[in-house]
Amino acid sequence: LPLQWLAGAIAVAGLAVSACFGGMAKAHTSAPATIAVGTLIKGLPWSVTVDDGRILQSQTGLETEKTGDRWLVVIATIDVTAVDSRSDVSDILRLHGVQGLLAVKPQRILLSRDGTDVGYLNPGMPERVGFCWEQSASAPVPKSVDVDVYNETLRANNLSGSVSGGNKEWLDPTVRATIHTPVQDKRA
Amino acid sequence: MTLDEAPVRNHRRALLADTPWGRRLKAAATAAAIIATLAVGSAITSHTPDDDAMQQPFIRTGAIGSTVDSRTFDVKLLGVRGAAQITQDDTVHDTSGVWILVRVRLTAFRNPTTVGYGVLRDEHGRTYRATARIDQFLLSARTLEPGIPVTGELAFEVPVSVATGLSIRLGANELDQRMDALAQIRLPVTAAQVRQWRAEKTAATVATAEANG
Repeated sequence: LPLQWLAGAIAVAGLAVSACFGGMAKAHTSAPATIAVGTLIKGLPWSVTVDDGRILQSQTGLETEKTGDRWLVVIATIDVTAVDSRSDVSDILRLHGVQGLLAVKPQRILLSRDGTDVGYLNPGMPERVGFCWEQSASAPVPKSVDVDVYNETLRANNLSGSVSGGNKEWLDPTVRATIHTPVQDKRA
Repeated sequence: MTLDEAPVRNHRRALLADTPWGRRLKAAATAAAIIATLAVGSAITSHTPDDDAMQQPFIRTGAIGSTVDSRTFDVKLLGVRGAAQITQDDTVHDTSGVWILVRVRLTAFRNPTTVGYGVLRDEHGRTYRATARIDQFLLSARTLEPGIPVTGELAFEVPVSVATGLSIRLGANELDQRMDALAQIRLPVTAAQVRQWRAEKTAATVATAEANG
């Protein structure tokens, strides 16, 4: 019994000491929320508003890889909240529960403003963007899709970062919210 | 202290350590030393610059018209203009902010080199990459030959609110600027110019790169 008491006391003392150095800091463990279309999801390194979903046919400038396939496009407004231009726009959204997608990441990401492929998005300049996934012709046309919105954390990489916390990278992609998005069939 | 006193002091210490209070005192002192060591270590690491601070690029500054050395090439800022729209290959590109077109002359020193990194930096430290919505003739794709100046324009889009406090930064490496030299030149832009550029209906054509050797 004395040994058990001693072990308990040591554990409590360890917790108390670790608390002095941030060991009891609040951890972010909240589950992703299901949010309505058109709601602003604030976060880092970007804030996102999913506007709508649509089905488009292959067309000049937006050709599908396979003949007969279609595009499933999610329109979202992206506002970069990091301090630098972001080129990792393809990491922002994912779809789940959709059959027949050719890739997990969107194959094309287009600026609604002029239809150019998105290379960078700039901080403080919200842009309406189309995230395009090619869907197999044999798959059913969805009436709605669940869109996962990801955020990331700026921290030192455990492998390549330094002990002092330098060389920070945007890591830990985490689903911040899921948006049940209606899909309109806009094929001619 | 004489040699005769030393054994007496050590004897007193031994007596103290053998008592229950002495052992408690020793344990408490050990715990206090551990906690103090952790506290000092934590204080040192929290006040020591991290690698991000220590590996900052070396910024070499200059003004419009002056030549700024960026280790492998030098930069001369020739002028700045702006627009609400730009055009290239018969396509017009608008912006939610304002287009900033920076005219520079770049000259490589000893070896062929490329300029991979081109940003505008505002007064809050935010950086805006040269736009990828059009072909940029001076960045990456263009190899600068030593001693042959190349003149052209770089296009950026920025929020209107930051357009009067910008500096251009140019460097060789597109992906990693740690401990590299970057040329930084303040852009002389006024609020009146920004208003005028935003009101302009005609799309500006971005100048291509020309060798001036």
